Amino acid sequence: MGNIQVTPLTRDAIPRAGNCDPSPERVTEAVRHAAGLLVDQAPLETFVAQNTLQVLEGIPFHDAVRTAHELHGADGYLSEAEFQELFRSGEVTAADLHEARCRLAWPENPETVLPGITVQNLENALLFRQEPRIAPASRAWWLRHQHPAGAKAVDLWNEVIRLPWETGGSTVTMPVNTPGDLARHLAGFTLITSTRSLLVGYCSRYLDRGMAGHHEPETGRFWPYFLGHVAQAGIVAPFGPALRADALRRLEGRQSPIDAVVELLGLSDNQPTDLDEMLRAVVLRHPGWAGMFHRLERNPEERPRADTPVSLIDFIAAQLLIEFHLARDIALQLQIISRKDVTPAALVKALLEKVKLPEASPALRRDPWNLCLALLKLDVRTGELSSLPKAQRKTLVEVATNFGMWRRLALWLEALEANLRNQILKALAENPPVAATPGRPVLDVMTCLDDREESFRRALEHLDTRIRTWGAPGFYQLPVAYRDLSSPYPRILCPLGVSPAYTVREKPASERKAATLQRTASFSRVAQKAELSLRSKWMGALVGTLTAVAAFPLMVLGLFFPRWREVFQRVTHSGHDSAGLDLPESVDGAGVLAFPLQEQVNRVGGLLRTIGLTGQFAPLVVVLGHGSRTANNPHKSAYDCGACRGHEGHNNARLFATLANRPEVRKALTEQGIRIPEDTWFIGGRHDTCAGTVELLDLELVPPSQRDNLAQAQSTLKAASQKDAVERCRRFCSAPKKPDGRSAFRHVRERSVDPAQPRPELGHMTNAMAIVGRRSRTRGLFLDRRAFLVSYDPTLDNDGTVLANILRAITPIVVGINLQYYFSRVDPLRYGSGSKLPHNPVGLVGVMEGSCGDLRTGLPRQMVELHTPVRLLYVVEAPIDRVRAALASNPDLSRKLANQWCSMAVIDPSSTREWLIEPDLSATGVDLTGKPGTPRNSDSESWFRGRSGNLPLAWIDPSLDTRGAPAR
Amino acid sequence: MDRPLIGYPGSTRTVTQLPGSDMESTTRLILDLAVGSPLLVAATLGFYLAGFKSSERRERLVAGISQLGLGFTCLLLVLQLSVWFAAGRPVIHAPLLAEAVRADSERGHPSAVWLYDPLSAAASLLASLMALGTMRFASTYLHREPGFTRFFMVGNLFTGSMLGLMLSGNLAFSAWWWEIIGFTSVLLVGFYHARPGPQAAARTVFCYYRVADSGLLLAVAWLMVHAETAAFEDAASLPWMTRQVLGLLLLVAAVGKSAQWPLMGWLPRAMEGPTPSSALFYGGMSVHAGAYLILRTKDIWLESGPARWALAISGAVTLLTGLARARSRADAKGALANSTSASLGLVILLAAVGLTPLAGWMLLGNAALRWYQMLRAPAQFQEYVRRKRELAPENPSPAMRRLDRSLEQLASAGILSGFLSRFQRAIEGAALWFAAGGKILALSSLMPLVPVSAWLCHAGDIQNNVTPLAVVLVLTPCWFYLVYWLGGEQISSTLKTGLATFSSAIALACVSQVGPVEGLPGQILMFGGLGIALFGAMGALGGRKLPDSLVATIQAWTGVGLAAAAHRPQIGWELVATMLPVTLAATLLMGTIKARVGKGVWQGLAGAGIEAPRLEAGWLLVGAAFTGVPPWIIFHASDWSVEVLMHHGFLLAIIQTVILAVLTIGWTRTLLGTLWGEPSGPVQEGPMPDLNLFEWVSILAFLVLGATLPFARWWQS
Repeated sequence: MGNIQVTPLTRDAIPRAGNCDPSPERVTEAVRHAAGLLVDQAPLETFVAQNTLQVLEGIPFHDAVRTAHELHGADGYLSEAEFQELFRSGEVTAADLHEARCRLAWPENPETVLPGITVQNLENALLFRQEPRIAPASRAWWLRHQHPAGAKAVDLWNEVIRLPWETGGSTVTMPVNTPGDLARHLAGFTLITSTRSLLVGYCSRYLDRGMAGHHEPETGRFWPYFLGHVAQAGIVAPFGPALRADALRRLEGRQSPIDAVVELLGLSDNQPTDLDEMLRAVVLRHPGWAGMFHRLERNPEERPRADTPVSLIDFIAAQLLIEFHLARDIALQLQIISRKDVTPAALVKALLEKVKLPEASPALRRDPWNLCLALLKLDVRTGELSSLPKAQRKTLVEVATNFGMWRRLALWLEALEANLRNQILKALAENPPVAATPGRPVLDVMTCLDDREESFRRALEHLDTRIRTWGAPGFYQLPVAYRDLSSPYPRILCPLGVSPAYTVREKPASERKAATLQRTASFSRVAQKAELSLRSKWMGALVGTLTAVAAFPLMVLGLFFPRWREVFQRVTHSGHDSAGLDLPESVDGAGVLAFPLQEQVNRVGGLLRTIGLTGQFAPLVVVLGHGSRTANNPHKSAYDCGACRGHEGHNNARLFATLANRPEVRKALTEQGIRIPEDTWFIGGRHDTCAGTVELLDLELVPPSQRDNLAQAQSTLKAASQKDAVERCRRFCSAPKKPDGRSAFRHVRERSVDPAQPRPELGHMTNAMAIVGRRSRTRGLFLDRRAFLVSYDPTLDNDGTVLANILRAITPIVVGINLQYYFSRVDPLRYGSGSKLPHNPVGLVGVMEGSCGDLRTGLPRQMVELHTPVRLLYVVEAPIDRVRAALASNPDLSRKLANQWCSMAVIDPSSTREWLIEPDLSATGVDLTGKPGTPRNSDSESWFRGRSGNLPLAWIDPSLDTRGAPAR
Repeated sequence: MDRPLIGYPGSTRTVTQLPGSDMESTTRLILDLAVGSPLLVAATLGFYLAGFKSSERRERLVAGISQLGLGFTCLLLVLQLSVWFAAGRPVIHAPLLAEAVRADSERGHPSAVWLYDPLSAAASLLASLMALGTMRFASTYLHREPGFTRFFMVGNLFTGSMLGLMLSGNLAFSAWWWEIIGFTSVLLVGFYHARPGPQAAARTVFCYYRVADSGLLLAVAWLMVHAETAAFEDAASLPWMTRQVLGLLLLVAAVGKSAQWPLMGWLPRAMEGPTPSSALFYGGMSVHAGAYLILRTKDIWLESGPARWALAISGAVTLLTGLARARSRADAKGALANSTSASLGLVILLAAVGLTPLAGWMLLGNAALRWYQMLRAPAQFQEYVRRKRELAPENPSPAMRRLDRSLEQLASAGILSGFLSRFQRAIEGAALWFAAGGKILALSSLMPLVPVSAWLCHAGDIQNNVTPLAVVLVLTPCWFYLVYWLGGEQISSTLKTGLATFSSAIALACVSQVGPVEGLPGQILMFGGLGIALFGAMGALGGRKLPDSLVATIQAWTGVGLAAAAHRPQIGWELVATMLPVTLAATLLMGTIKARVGKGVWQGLAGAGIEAPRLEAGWLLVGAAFTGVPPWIIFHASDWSVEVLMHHGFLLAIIQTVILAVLTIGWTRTLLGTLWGEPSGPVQEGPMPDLNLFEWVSILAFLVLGATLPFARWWQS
């Protein structure tokens, strides 16, 4: 899969007004403009997190969020009430707000606006006003009955409405002039649902990647496919013969979709219409499905069949056809038109004559209401406003308008981020209290840079100071297509934007093993076939219903005791990847690329140098890939390794270990200066981030001399898993309240097999920063699972290429994850995919709500509800010049930084000097004097025990006693 | 005043058997408790929901109470099963409540009786276990979901009703439970208030359900007219022809409820609620109610005839087309829904063939299987990904494809299914038509003049005591309608509602003072009343604003009262006793809402229910009272059906059942469209403030009054 070229939109690029030229070329262009606004998300089967507003990355974050609000109506920040809650809980302080004001260049204004009240007072009152969520029409009632001031509050409200508010900017907008929009406006109900109930069945079957019992043999375009089906539908056609005849006519006339769109929009020459806005509205009515058509149009390799010519315009034509028929029926019933055979243009004309717009009133707008609440908070008396001179009344309005919602929200977000940034920069400017024991370590553990590994790594290091941990992107720089024994199709295991360089095939280690695997695989296949056929197949309906009563007790018990399922699964699990496989350096055969030795050496050596593991190897180096196995979860790939394109990452880990164990590779590495001792063994493994288990793989290949080390490592890893589980449990409502390692571990394992659990794990929730640097700088720091940790040794990278490579490799992953979580959290309904409870998997392309809803993009609410949405902060340990050079060679990251989609701080490797990269990419020194020092605690558990929210960063220093004082 | 026995003067049947043996009283006690337990939990949760804001901390309590209640039910049913086995598995008829049964049989209503036999024993135990499992599932699955308590309340109400239906001993008693099952199903399809999709789906489901309900209500009336009882076993001795008609009516009921051809289109649309509700209703239980009814009433239709053939054909066609549709669906829940339809078709086919024990076994098996598959539907995504990885893709032969395509054509070419989807669109259309033509509504409102005048002349003839006062009183409704017509938008909705209630009450009261009206005037009153009811129902359907719907509904019920009064004057009293307090409750509710949001924003209330549970509860209760869902309305409806059936024949009975169906559909439309769904007016930023305790208690008190007043007369006698 190639790189996706996204042309960034600027605000000016979104046309505001235009003339109506109903030529096919102009309409095509308008469709292209409109399609640029669709969320660009891959089919869920290969889902990888990426910025929801990627198309707007070309403009500054705060502007983009506002633009997106105008387009989608979506929120771009947490609500003010939620920010105020964060203020109360101490995650934002007054000092942070002040700092944010300075950064945003909105200084406090001491000018007096009302007697005894300065602009600053008023702004603070606006910032901290409390209001329940309440419908605009209920405001007067609410003030009278619920506000302590009662009738006086209503009087004040009436005075506020009479202030000189600017007219315009009403909450009511003119409907766009497609037949569907106009009819909707007249009928008073949305046509979206009716349209979908017809359209979605055809879309899902056309785009199906393998869920329907049999695939459609058609591979043609969608428009004729749709017309053909509608024309054949017989008298069932929900609009009766009219739609059917229309479809037949278009089919026989071989109407092209673009001609259909031009016709169905109902455009005529003398009618003023903004064509771009019109198509934007059309496309955004079913953003999920339209987005999927658009995505597949540009990415043929993601299509169900590569030769299916998927195209957005076909979808739009079908949508408009249905909307036209719905609108015509409504117009007939409303007696707006009298004949059935009306053209779209005539229909639009007739409808336009009837449309009336409701009036806008300042009482329905936000700013007056907010001002009123703020004035009430400041105890402004009734009558004070009307006696003000005209200029001051105008100032009041200006303050309320200028310090409006968008500015307040931006301020809150910057303050929240400032708080966290100060914490981490303060901590990193201090010396870690505990360092790794010098000398040869007992165990090296390499994990993915994933934020979920942070607590696991901290737990490991806490157990033994002779353990070192390393973080790297979880595909371990092995961009491969991987084919395991059970699968005839390769999976691509590398990040988006990287093409797989090699194909690797799994091979059984021995004949006996092969036979066993063959048996389990065929058993698994039979079991799967049986289970699937129970759903829809003829025999299944018969046999299943006959036998289900007998199995019923097991089903009920399984719900009450989910862990029984684990036992059952262990019996039936096919065990493909559990043991004894060899990964050859290359395999021949059709289309399989060889993996030459030199490449193997380069890949292994490159990674080791990148993370800084070039000497003092422990006897055992554990390389962990991660995945998340859950019982009832369509969004599994969003929990798996983002660096492996939403697949589990353990196969890359195994491959890396296999390569690093090869004598030829080691020999070549020695020549490059990386000497891996004879008695060092690399072993791959899988870290299940949901069940918390660590499973080491290919154990048969471990030399006998390593058996003791292996046993030791396994018990250490298990102990760390348990500690990690205890930490994770603090976020779970149903977890034991005071868990010990065993009960916590049992709980998280139960979550992973419980089909009733919509939150098997919390994913990347609370991710906030990416720290690129030596682990020794952060070792022992309680980062609360909020940081992506990338190992990078600045002392081994004199020319800066390694840093540039790292930043290039991780940016799409970490910024993508961060922003997807951000937007899914701030507006779960529009940017996220809503609650996952009504989700219905469809066609392996995604989930929809109910059986004919829109395709949902983004993350479900259950995944992100505990997330604290902040933009990612990079913390890079490197000389400032090297960072500048890396940024100069990385336009993508530079653009993101310049437009503030993420931010970056830099720490000098040899001192405690710190810089912030400003939006203009200059660096300013950070001054943290006066900021409180980082708290210290004896261990993580006593720091988080009993607290479920976000915690301040803290140094974990085992030499302290539990009260935080030095032990005697 | 003596109330004639159910609609057939001179009926000889008086008293059904009273509780006799120990076995019967034990069974009665156990089953009362088993069915009552979830209902009690539902009531508790309902009060809780209306009284307090839902809070996360209460989740465990709510889920705990539900599981406790259902656990108790399961235990009781196991106990009953063992007692029953020990007693040698007799077929037990146990009256619901001894006293009630006595009163019931005295006034001629069918008595409420439990029937415990192998079928109901197995089905009720399975159902209670399934419900228990679902509650366990939901307690984790719905964690932090807005509407957590609401789900458990509706779920418990449904479970109790489902058990009631399974254990019910006669058709009229079944109809009670049947209605509540339908009502709760619709509530859970529309579980997500803030999105328009679920609301549209809920309306679709409700439309289909009303067709099924019409079949059942007519069946009850038909059975009571011909057998003078509604008990299943008494029906077996009816003449062949009567039983065939009954069988066909039951077929309509079962086909609609169990999503059989040709009414199978609604089931995939119903998958809008959270997964556990889809599992409980459309995987496990609700959808099986129709097939269960067919098995339950096998004595009626099993003799060879059109009914049995129709059942066999419907089952066979559903089996074939359902599987074909299931194969062609690309979404997990849609495919499952069609498989469920298909398996139920198999069950009905087997029953029609005569293999009823096997059909019963498969019914239970299908319920268990689909329930579990539906719970795990989201997991299908990963399972199919894995399948795609590990199994070769299926390539059905061209012949198979052709077969599938033809079967799908068959499924979709069903005349009725096409008709029904158009029926629903016709309803939407009528709504718009009425909205556009307000004058027609007003004009139709003048129609009371016709029958009332007819009746006046007639009453003058027979009684010779027509005073000017009586004329003035009887003409009161016309004043109101005149005001309504002339005043239009100018007069307040409260005034309109008040006038409507007042004048309708007076008209009904006057009519009920005179005995049954015979001859031509009786016919005129009957048809005039039907006409008024029809226009009222269509008006309720078309009412774009809540007050309009309310007025139109009152008009419809007045028409019902006038029509029924031709033969049964008492119905006038009973309707007044129900309608007055219910209308007062509705007016109060509208008044409180209007005080909060001002005029003309009814459509802007969308989503208000989420943060205003009392408002929502009041809304639903008032709506239910009007829509004819509660049992006392079913009494009226079935009484009325019996009347019409007795005096005017089958066709007219069908027409009046359709009127009732349309009336309720209209109300659901207004109810769901106004309170839930996407706002069509200015977009709201927040919900409306909830009712305060005083307002809530007053509304509740009026509703309770409306529910109990009609019974007061019966309890006296």
